[in-house]
Amino acid sequence: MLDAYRRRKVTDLLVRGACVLAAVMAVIPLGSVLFYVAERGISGLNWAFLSELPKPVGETGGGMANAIVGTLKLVGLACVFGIPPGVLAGVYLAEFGHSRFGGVVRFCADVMSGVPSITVGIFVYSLIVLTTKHFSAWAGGVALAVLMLPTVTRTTEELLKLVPESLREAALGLGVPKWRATLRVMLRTAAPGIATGVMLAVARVAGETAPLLFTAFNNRFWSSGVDEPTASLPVNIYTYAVSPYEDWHAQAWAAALVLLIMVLLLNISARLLVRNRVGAR
Amino acid sequence: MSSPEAASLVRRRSTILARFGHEVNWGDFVFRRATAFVALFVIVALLAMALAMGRSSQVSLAKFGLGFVFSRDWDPVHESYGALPFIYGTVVSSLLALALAVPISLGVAIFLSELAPKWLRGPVAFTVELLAAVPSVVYGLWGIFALAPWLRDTVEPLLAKFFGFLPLFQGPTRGYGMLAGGIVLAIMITPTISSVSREVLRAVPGALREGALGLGATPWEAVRFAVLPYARSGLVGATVLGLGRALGETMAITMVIGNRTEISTSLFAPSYTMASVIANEFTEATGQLYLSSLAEIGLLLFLVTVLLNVVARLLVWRVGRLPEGGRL
Amino acid sequence: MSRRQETTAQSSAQSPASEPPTENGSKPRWDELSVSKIVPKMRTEGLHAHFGSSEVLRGISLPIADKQVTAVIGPSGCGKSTFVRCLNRMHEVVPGARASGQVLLDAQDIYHRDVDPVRVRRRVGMVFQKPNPFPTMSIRDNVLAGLRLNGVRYGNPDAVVEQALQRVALWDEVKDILGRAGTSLSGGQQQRLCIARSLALEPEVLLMDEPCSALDPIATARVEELIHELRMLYTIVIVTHNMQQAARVANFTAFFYLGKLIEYDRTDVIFTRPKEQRTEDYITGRFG
Repeated sequence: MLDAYRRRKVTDLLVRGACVLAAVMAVIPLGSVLFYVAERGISGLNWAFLSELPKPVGETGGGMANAIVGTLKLVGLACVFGIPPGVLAGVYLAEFGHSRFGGVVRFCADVMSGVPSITVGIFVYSLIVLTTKHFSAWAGGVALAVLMLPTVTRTTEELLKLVPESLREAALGLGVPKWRATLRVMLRTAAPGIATGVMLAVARVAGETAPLLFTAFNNRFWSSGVDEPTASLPVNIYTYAVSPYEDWHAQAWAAALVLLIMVLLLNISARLLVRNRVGAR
Repeated sequence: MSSPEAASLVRRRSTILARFGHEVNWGDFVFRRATAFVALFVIVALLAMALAMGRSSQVSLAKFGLGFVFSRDWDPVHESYGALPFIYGTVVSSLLALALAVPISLGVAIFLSELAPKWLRGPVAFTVELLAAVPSVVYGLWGIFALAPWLRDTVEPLLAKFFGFLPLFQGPTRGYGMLAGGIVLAIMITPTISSVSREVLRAVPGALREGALGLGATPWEAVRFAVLPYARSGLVGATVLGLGRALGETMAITMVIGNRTEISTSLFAPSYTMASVIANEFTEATGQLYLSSLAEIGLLLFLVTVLLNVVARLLVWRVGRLPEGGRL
Repeated sequence: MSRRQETTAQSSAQSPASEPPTENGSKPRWDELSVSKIVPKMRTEGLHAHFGSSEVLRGISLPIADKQVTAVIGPSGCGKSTFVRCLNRMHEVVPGARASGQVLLDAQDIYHRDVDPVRVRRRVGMVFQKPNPFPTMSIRDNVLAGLRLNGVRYGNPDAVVEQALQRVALWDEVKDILGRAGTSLSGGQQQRLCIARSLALEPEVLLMDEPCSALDPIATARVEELIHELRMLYTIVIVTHNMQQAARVANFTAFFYLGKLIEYDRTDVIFTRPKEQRTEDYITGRFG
């Protein structure tokens, strides 16, 4: 009896240890990645990198100014194309979505969120690039927007449903028509939470490479407007990393550092937003 | 203060409104239909995606038919295309990733939901979620310059020394290859599997756990005999979701897997995945058949991931709900 | 139809009229009773209400006296909240809920096909059981919310806010913190804020659905005081499960039981010489 009990205790401890080990093993790669990016990225990060255009192939020096701007441009376009439809679709699902149509919409949104990003690239390529016969920033923006759409929709729906019905009743009791009550009271109350979800979606999309490969493509110069092929940090990281040039490798690390800082800032501030809200009430 | 037009309560309902809906005022009428239209857009987008991929693959579908899946040829010069090497590469790297990631993810999930002290939960959960925030291409970069050299110089020689009798660990150790790909994928799908598993475990009624503990079970025994059986289908669902994510992953694996159309039993050998070949060759593809074959690979990838996604959600839904926001 | 009727307050001038004999033992109609001289601001005729297939109100015919406080009392589940929510067409907001019969506001049936419920609610305001100020708005914006959301043009916003808050005796307490969130106030203050918010729209009738049940006794007393003052300007209907409260604030009381109106009369009559046995059982606490 005592023996069996001790055996069970030991098993328990072993399993606990294994779980702790698992947690450690999950965290180590993150530490390694962050360390490498920080170390190698900082050495490659200089004013030239941030302000200059890439030099011709083979020459050292130059920078990725156009890629940094390009990423901001593409993310901005993604927001323009992805957030309004996402929020409106989410509003529909929250208010009127208890029908079969609503169920189908939800199902499609969930399925879309699992589609590989490269297939979204092929889709937008055949839809836009083939018809306009050139790569463009807005094609890239559309591809990223398609990736954002399901997340924004579901986030809006979930958060809207969390707003207490008593607020809607208060608005209706004041003689406000239903649609205005939804938009100006319910949606407004849910807005901080939705903003958080959107920021997280934007952070994910900012780092996407595959869909941009055949939509925004790349550009060694400045791209004006939204109708030209556009450089972006992720695509540049890829291109430079697989190239044979040492100098380009260093720039890839610097680009990774910039990208990582952007993404982490978005992520952390989104989570702080949530924590602050919960604390303040 | 001016008073609202309190005189009349009556508003003659327009005949249009009366015929087409239940709403009494235009605002509600338009609001419902406008938002429904946008919601319809979501369905249309998905269908359009499927259709576009089907149409792009038409040429090669017609030419190669089912044989496409089984053919090992990938010869642009002679216009003969077959997807088998890529299917092999994708499947094997993903299964390897699962083999590595599932124990770790489950361990993390159990740790976070059952065993960890409260003060540790937040930081650890946050760190695991941060794994998901790192872009794929950054993992690829790290894979090229940190992981692959380490594998080539340390890990693979060791594996070859002790396990070289297995065909799995034979051949030249270059660092790039199936093993590197599997490891990178495993790192990337760990946050997915662990966060879904955590939700599943959280959905298990506390009474089950407490009942077991009340009978004198150790914490692990409570998990093993009370919680896990209940959560089993959900955990399988989490795994399937991770598999779906691994199959579709592109950049990181392209950068470390070597990109050679070989089918080899060794984990040290380079390989090529479906997503990688599309990424590498799509913009260089000459000729309609070439492009169409790549699109067909994309179509296959699309269909398989959609199917896996549906199955996974059905499994998870039976136990708990997925974390908010969709993209996993 | 002018908003403020010419009729004067008639609470004390009533003399009990003799009651006509009833036929077949049916309950006397309200206009045959001692309350027949009151002028109703609102009146229901055969009001039925359903939630899905279950009937919650079974043919209520009841007047609501102008510029008086009418209390609706009864045990839980008797339909009093439902009744009051029918008075401003809030009942149908719940999916599956419907109502039939007539509800007359100044002799106009608000349930008529062509009537817009939104317009009804601007004349018949509502205060809810749990105070619900808008959390994203300041105290000031909360008061103005009804006006702003409806696009009603108003003069000086500060004057509007001050007047509304004065009317609910909240001005002195919050005049220096108007910018703070509406939800930063105490429960009693929040409820008075909600009343101010409703009053800013200048309704003719104010419905109150158990307005004090979420408040502590001191806050309750202040709200009751408020009701006393507001009575001069507005017609008030208050639902309460607290009989003493009804006795304190109301001029007229209606007793509901299982969806039917059992008795309606002046408050002092209901509480001292009720005509129905069930009324008497309820007020003496024989059932709750």
